[in-house]
Amino acid sequence: MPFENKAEGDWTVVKVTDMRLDAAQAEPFRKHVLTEIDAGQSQFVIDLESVIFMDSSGLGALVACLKQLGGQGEVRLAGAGGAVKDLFELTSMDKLFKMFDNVEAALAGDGA
Amino acid sequence: MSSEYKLSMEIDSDLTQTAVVAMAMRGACALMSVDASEINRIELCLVEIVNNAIEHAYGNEKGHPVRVSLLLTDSKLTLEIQDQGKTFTNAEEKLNAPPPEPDPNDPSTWLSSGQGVSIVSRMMDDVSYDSGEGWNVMTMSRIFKKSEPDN
Repeated sequence: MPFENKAEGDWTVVKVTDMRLDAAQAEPFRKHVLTEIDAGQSQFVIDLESVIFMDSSGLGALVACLKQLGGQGEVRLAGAGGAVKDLFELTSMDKLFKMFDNVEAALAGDGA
Repeated sequence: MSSEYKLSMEIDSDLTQTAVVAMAMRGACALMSVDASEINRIELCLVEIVNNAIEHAYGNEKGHPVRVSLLLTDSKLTLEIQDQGKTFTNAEEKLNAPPPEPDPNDPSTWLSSGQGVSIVSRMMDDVSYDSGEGWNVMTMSRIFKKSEPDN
């Protein structure tokens, strides 16, 4: 599975280890995070530092996780660069997600 | 460096195969010194349309052809994506629809699918869709900027 979880206090850091979060990976990713939400987790940092390409399906999977939380949790994004950041700006999805330079900043809530 | 590149590819209708046509396109664009941020956006458009063919035209069923052809000149890229699946209905209407705007206070505006065509129509200069002789064809083109020389 190209996703690794790490607990940091109340937060679950989910690292995407593949270089692409695209249509081929979107559904496994969505299921992976939804399993954590079903298990009671509500605060997530998604580590996108390794991801160099994301398409609308990958983006949609992130949105699906946010919707599943129903306002009772948070999804912060860490390490999105280049093409990934561009996708969020192009689709105005940067309005829905707080984006941070790296996992440490996301956990601290700095620099959004 | 040639003044023009032409490339024709065919993949199976399998989402794990999309990356290979994307990488081939990136290679051709790099040879033509297309600006890196332009290559990223062109890759996004190509992937969205190839995935639409796989997911919607073929209903995610493997074993069908998706053809991608590329024509790259000194300033313009033209991509054609062809499939033999279900025709994309109301293509023109969807291509001309205003982009969705998510409202942070209204979860009903948070779209988790269906954004691909909107992205493509904004990123490309020209997009058209046609069906005939058993093939559906999405054609898109963009005048691109080139990367700055190092010195």
